[in-house]
Amino acid sequence: MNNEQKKELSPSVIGEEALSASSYWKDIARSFCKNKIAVVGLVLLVIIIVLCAGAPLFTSYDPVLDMNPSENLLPPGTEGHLLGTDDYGRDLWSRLIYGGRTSMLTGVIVAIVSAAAGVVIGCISGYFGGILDSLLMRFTDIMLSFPFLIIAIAIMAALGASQKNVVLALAIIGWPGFARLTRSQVLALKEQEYVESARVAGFKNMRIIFNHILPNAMGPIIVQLTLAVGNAILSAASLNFLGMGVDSTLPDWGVMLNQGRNYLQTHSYLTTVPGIAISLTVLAMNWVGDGLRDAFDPRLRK
Amino acid sequence: MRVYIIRRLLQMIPTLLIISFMIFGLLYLTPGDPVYLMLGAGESQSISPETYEMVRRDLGLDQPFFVRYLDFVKGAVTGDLGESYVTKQDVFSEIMARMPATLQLTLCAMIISVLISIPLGILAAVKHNSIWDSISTFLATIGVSLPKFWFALVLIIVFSLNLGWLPSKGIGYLEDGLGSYLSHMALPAISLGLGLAATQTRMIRSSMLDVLGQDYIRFARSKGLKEKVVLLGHAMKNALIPVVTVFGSEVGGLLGGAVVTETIFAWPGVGRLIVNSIGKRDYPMIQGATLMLCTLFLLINLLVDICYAGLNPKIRLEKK
Amino acid sequence: MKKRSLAFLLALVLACGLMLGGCSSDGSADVGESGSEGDGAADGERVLTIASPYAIGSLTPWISNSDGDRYVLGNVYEALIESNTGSEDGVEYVPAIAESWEYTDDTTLVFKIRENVYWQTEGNDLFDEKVQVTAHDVKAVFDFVLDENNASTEWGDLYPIIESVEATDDFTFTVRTKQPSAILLNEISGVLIFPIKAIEEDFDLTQQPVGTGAFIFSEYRVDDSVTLTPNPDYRVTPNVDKVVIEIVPDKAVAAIALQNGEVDIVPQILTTDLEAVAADEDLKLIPNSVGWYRYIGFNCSNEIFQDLRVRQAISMAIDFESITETLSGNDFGAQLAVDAYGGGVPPEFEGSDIEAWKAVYEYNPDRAQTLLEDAGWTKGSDGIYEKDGQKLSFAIKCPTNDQNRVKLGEMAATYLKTIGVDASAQPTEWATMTADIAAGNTEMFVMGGGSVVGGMNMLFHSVNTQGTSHNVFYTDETLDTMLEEAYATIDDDARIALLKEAAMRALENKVHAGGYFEYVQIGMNKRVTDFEKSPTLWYSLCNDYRNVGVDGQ
Repeated sequence: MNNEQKKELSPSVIGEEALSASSYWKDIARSFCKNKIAVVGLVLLVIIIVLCAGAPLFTSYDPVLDMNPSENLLPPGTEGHLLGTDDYGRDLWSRLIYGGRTSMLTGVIVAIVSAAAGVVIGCISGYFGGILDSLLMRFTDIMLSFPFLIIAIAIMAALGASQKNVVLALAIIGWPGFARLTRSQVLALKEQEYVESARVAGFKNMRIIFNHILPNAMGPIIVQLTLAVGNAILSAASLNFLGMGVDSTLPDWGVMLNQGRNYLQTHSYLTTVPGIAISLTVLAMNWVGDGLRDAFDPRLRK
Repeated sequence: MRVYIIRRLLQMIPTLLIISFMIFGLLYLTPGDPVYLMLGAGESQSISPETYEMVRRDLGLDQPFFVRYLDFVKGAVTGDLGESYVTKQDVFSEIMARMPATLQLTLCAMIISVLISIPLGILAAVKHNSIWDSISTFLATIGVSLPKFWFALVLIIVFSLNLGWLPSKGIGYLEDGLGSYLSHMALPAISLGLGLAATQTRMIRSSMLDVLGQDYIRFARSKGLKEKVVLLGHAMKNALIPVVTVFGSEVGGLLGGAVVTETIFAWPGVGRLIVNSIGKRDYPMIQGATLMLCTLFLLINLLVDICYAGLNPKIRLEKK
Repeated sequence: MKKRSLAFLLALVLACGLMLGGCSSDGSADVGESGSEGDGAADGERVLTIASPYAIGSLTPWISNSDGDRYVLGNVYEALIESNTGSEDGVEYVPAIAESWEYTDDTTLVFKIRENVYWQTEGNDLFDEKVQVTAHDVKAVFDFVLDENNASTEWGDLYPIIESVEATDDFTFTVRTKQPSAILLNEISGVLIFPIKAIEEDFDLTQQPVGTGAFIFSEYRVDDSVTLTPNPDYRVTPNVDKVVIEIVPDKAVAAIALQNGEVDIVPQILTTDLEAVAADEDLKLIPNSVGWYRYIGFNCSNEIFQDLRVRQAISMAIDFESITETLSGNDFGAQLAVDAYGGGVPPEFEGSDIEAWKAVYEYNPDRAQTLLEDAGWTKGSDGIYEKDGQKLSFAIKCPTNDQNRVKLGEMAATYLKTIGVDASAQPTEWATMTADIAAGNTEMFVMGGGSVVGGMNMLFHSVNTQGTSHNVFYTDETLDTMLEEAYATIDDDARIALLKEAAMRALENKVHAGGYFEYVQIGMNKRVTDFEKSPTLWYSLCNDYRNVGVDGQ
């Protein structure tokens, strides 16, 4: 254990600055590939993406129009229906892979947009401090303390129902968490010696933030980001339930989960199937995220 | 420190003013009509224009927006949050009647979450890439990918319906005995706490990993300090910073947003009150409850910010 | 290092163990306790526990109008009469405070008040001794409710009908109407008689309801439960020692509590839980006595739907029979839903004529397409109908508080998609949705209701639908006149004939695309007695025609 620790710590922090940008990224990629779990995650993610993107290639059913009420609630493994059928008599497998398109896209975009907005605001707030910090943080407080339901209904009323607005609404609800998290990291890091020395050396503020502080603050942010994907998929479904979605006959993982809710006692596969799909996606992203996190961390990179 | 706290408390006044205006404005823009809803939306009862006008006047909704807002602010300053449209009772006392249930549930959920997340998170970080690490990742993944209602219902089906160990719904009152209190608390607190623990475990693992690589930990170790002292004394303290932050952000969600848990377990808390009130467009109740929860939230986050200073003396609060 | 991780593991297990184990040992005893609350074995107390899905709104008798309030107030207060929808000949009225009533002419209704009705004396400070209820008390209540300034929710229903009320003598109460009214008895059955003394003495009836009913309001634990105890002064002795109405908002959990024996009656079992409840030997399912109408309505003011042919085509393209079957499908022989075949009156109510509607009903996607083409719509390159550059594209809004209604909307949208209509299903929050319908911000919508006496007036009358959640923006003066005439006809046969004619007219004009009548199932523990006679919680559990009890085992 102690030996390992020493090895991990050997690359010096100052040395990083001397490396050129391209070797920095290569270094990260190499370090990422060494992490077996991260690679497994990446492969899994690619498989899921291929299945969803090429959905028509993997099923002969239309996820919406092939509704056959007389064949509803067939259990998984029934001939012709790999995962069975739902309560409308629609093929679950086809709904799953078609549904992944909307869900994954929504989840990833929401997570990235809210993380980007939150990180920028959190950095500014934490780094510059003072009145700007107070103003920004009180604003995030306001956003965080508001009941989700009211914000969602109001946004829906103002913008109307569309998938774009679902993403927008979720990003509006999601960024404050990232902002507070980033700020707390920045607050801790900006007092570090290497940041002080960068400041003494006369580096511009932006450069210090992006080159010195942010890479070291990325750990918790990446964790939060990967978890936010799962959250966004579920929240999108609850927005759909409030009337913000486009068309609830269209497949979507979160919506599938909600629709299967009441069948938990009798036909539990209606919730476990989309649940596993979301879990696998988030798990894969988590592994990739962990790999990235470790790869980005100069102290853990070997 | 004292100056900082006083300044933050003073900052709360404009913040709450903005919140109250936002909530007022948002409710004004939100579709849905309290008068129709009070009259059963005309689902099985006709609504004559005269009845409609009568109820509207009775609720004071014929007043212009700013008059209503000023009335609300005037009342709120003197501690009067108005009267509910639906129950015709004082909003403040209606909320206070439900606050204990919510606080108890939140507290229990937090305790459960801390008991799970801190040991598991540290373990996952110390034994990086081990089985513990995988367990923590797995737990976190499940925690965020399955909706809250799923956990709650599965817990009820397993522990209440199948095993018959615990009651499926409702709150236990202490006057009916500690056994009843705890057995009613168990399932809601676990289902809420597990969800929270999922994210927390990941956070603790990640920030512990960060901290363990820091110079001062290496220094502490090289000084020959015991591993336990290094981990719990030095590393933990710093690792808790992002954890406390996330906690502060989520507490808002826990207080007002444990809606799903409160609804499924028939828990008589504030979250359910807010959702019912939103469903009925009971404006005074929504405004009052939101304002009270926001105040609570701001206070908790002030505490969180003070905790930063306690955890890391390098963060100086007074700094401009 | 190994030791340390073991310690962590132990701490973890201990933490979980403490929570689980500590609670479960206490908990198992507790479940047994609440499960046997009504057993009678433990302490001899007969407790009836009801799970209500609704929050208590207001317990003020002249304001409350939600089901949840009514479950409580119906046991504490009485009206002059009650309507019993469980009867085989449709709706019938049964005596409560009034022992009999008769029309002396078409506009005068005379009630004979019972001579053994007293205000409750236990548990309140309002009445120290037995005080008899007279016609003057009843008149005072009607005067109060008919006064606009008191903001009673009954006011809007009563003032258009009632001319005057009068206490002819101590036990005779006379109501005069402005014109003959066939819905008068129904409206009167909604007025709960409360002591006007409370108003005069500024007594808070909302905190402590005081009525004449079989049960005394004993305790309200906020958002948790209401406890009622028998009223010793009541003319019938209740068969239970205590009624507990527990508020369980989640209907799936209520069904689990019923299976656990934690509650005895659940007024609404979700379709998805029926199988489990039906399989339980101790439990029984009772269908609601009235089929609730659920329909898809048009916003007839919308440009697309102004053309009758388009409405006909859409109605014809949706396989309502299949939808009804999907909603009704079960393995235990219960009838959960009945196709409405385009009509709007449940079989239990006057004006219903399902056979006649069925004869003109047609599911015919081919004809639907022909009709659309007749109306000038042509299929575009994407297979979607269009006319003058406008696509045949619209949303069906469905209220999210009812999964069956969402299903109706989603299945209908799918059927429409298959013939080239770009219909989408849009689940919408209830409050938003009702406001949208009232304001005309919809294209098509799934709604329900109007399954009451006088329901057709709410569903189809062009004035009465305005500003309600049944707003179809359909104006047909002939239909309005037919309805007005029908509801002013006291003679039963003549009225029913008129209502049937009106229902057929609404059907032919496709005000609604179609729908079904839903028979909600009430779940009940078999130890509950006498509940099935009139399976509703809307009225008192104990009165002259039913006295619900619980059997010890």
